[in-house]
Amino acid sequence: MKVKEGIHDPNVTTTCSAKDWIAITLGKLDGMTAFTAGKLKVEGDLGLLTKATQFFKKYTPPAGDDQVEEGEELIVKKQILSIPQRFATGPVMGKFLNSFKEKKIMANKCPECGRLQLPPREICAECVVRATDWVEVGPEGVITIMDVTYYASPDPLTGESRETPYISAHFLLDGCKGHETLWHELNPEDRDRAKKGDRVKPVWNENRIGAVTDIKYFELID
Amino acid sequence: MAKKVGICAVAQTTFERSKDDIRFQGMALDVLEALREQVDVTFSRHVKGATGVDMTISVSDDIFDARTISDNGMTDVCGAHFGCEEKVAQEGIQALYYGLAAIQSGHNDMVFLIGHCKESQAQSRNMVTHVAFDPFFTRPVGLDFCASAGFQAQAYAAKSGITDEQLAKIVVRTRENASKNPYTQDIGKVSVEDVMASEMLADPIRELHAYPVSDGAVGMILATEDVAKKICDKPIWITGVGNCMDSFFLGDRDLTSNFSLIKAAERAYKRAGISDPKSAFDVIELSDQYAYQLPMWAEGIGICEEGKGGKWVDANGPEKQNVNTSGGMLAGNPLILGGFVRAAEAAFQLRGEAGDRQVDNAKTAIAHGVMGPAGQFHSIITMARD
Repeated sequence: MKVKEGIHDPNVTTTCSAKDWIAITLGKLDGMTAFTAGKLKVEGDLGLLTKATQFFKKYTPPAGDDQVEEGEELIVKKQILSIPQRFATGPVMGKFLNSFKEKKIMANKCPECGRLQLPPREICAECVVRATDWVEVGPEGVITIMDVTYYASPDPLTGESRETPYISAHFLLDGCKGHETLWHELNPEDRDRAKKGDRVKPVWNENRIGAVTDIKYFELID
Repeated sequence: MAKKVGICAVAQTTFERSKDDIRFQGMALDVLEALREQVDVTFSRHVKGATGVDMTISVSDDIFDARTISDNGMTDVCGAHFGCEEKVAQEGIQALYYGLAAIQSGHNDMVFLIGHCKESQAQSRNMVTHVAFDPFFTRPVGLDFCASAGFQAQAYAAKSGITDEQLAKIVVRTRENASKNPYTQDIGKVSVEDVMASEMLADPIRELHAYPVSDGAVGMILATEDVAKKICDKPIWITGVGNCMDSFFLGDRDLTSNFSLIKAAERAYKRAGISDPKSAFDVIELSDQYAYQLPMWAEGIGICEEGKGGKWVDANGPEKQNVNTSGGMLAGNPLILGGFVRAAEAAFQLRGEAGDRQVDNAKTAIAHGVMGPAGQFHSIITMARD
């Protein structure tokens, strides 16, 4: 990784492979260990860099009893809010999710402008009419945009975070055009070789329940 | 009031215990379509020179919807795509207030209002209103809106001497009226004995004294006088509006003084030029979330003497003055939509479209909304037809 612009008179400069840097920022690789192993090269004020490690502590969700240090005057109260909820999918989102059980991806179509919607919605926002027609699309398609996310927000109830990094992507499925893309995930193993325009297919879970996660992810077609 | 603003269309879904077959977007769309059958309006802001609705105001509760800024996920069914949308998280009747302000300011000619809520989505309504309290003090001591109402009901009973039997009579009448209103859920009729035998929730509030959990949506189209006269035959004019916010902490308030409701009503009456509220309205719709609130709010808006709510119930006051002929909120509307539905009902009455519950020759009406623990915030809209 090369950084051309930035502060021209830095106190400390580090050089390291992108992979190792991500591991350090996620707290998976200790900075000092990386330095001793020669994975992290440092020029300048090493002491300042040691202080900077606090930025890379992995986020830990609040848990356990209140911990108030002696002499501390301001109390922070920790509480997890939980209200169990249930959501009706309705006839449109419901049909879309149900079709996953049969390994089908259904888009709905505006009767006026012909635009396809993924996921399907009750109405075409642009024409303000009900999108009543249905079209099966895909399941194969191409990547139009992809991005790697290196952090995950922890589930507020369990404190569990999903595996990182993960790849979000837009797929233009066969039968769709323009912005009629489906947002889903790409197989993390395809991270280094996938690029825009590559052909993909969905990987379906064995047990499908009518949920968006019935598609495990899309993967490159070799 | 400054510029005249008219209600040109009004629609609502039925209100049911649980609408399992539809998303909140679907309910809102049903209302939008019903409104468009009444008036011919466009939402085509992206077409140059097009006229029509130029502002949408939605009403929703983020906690019931379980998403933050929940309005952003439904701007398509609000007709707000490529346009302006603003959300009311306060009592839904405030949508009328903001729509009025938008039109009277001269910024908008036609405003679409849409309120929706699926209370059935949360396991418990009380869990949701519990979260309305602060995490340090009022939450740990166990407050939610029902428990707060219990305090107020207790204080009101001590001041007015209202009895368990009088509260039961209110519920019996509510359910009679609700049976004539096809929009309310089928809650069934009850006897005074049934009510007095129902379980205590927060003394003196019994289970049958509380409004049922419900799902539904309601909407309106407001417009300037000129536009209103052009697009509809019988516009209903908003004649007055007033609201007032009291202290959040219950300890700061005299729970029986009706302070904020009296202020809200005074402000609305001043704008509408009303001097004698007892004779000013053909139709009165109050947001009675709990039975004791019907006489208490009646005192607050000045249609009944202070502290005499019990006697007013015994003297058949609600029937004589056409108070909540719809069944009121006790017949079932989501908390956040109570006042909005009251305003919709008032408009139906003035348009002569209230079916079996129609008040003969209704020309003037008042609608009331309330939000926050024990009536913290009150809002009043008065309206009239030509």
